Amino acid sequence: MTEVAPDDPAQSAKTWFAVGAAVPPFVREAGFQVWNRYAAVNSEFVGIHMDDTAGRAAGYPGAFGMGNLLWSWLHCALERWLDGQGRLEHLELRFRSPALKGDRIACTGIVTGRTEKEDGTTVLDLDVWAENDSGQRIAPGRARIRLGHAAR
Amino acid sequence: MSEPILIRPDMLAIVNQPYGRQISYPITESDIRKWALAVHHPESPPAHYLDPRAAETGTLTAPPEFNPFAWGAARTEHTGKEIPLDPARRNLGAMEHLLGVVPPDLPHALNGGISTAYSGVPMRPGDVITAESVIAGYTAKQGRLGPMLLTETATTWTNQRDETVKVHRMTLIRY
Repeated sequence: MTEVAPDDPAQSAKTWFAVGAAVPPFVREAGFQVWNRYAAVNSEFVGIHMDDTAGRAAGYPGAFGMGNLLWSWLHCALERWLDGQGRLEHLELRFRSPALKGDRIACTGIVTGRTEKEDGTTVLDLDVWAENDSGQRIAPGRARIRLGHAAR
Repeated sequence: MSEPILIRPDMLAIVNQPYGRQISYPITESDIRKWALAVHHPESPPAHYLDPRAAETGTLTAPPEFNPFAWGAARTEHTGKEIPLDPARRNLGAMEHLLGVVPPDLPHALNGGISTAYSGVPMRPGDVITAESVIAGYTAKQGRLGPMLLTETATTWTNQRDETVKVHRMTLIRY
């Protein structure tokens, strides 16, 4: 599990949130340890996430992870990166392929646009995604962040 | 062989009609803490989720994607048009039966994607959230696993002060 703390003193806020800046990957291993915990808080006890037979019946190699958990992990990645300096206005993800048991999933993103607003805030546009060990983007999407005055 | 008709006229007739309105139990500190612990496992969540002073001082907010309806709602307002759902279709995300329409006869379901617009109003301990959902539209496609029906739902969450918290859109894939 590798995570980069967003409080590196060498990084100014402007560099940290510049176009081209990367969201430090939030990395987790897919499997029952994380799926069961998520099922417990989201009451998502669905066969395809709990039972290999049900996963195979749905056309996959076995049980697979919840799209909602990838959604949460992306939120975790963005929250850690922002560290209170901005807020998420919009997030969208498309679930192209599931996370399978043992997959190492990295949730990350890159700043693609930065717009200074008249009210003194800054809006960032990002491409975001969850990718597996093979580098396959199993859940690509976009995000929009609004930075507060202090984070510019 | 002809393709099955996935989008029936009676399904189109219920697009944009509210099919469900739920009012949550009040959110608790424990709900928020457990959610944060689960989604950050095996590492600890950011410290403020675990700091009892954050709750005492009113600065504890839920992660934006937190679901206060996970374990049921304090109250569900029905449409009055409900029909029984075939037990075999449970856990497939069907909602048409709530408006008196038989769900499509497709045995599998997947979450195709999510899109959420956050207003900036956070959820805090003590908040009571109301969620109202509509079917925003249907699309039929041919996928790797055969004919697929994409159903987009839109759910608006408001708090007890009638402030919008978020508008949550989900694409349900049935095949």
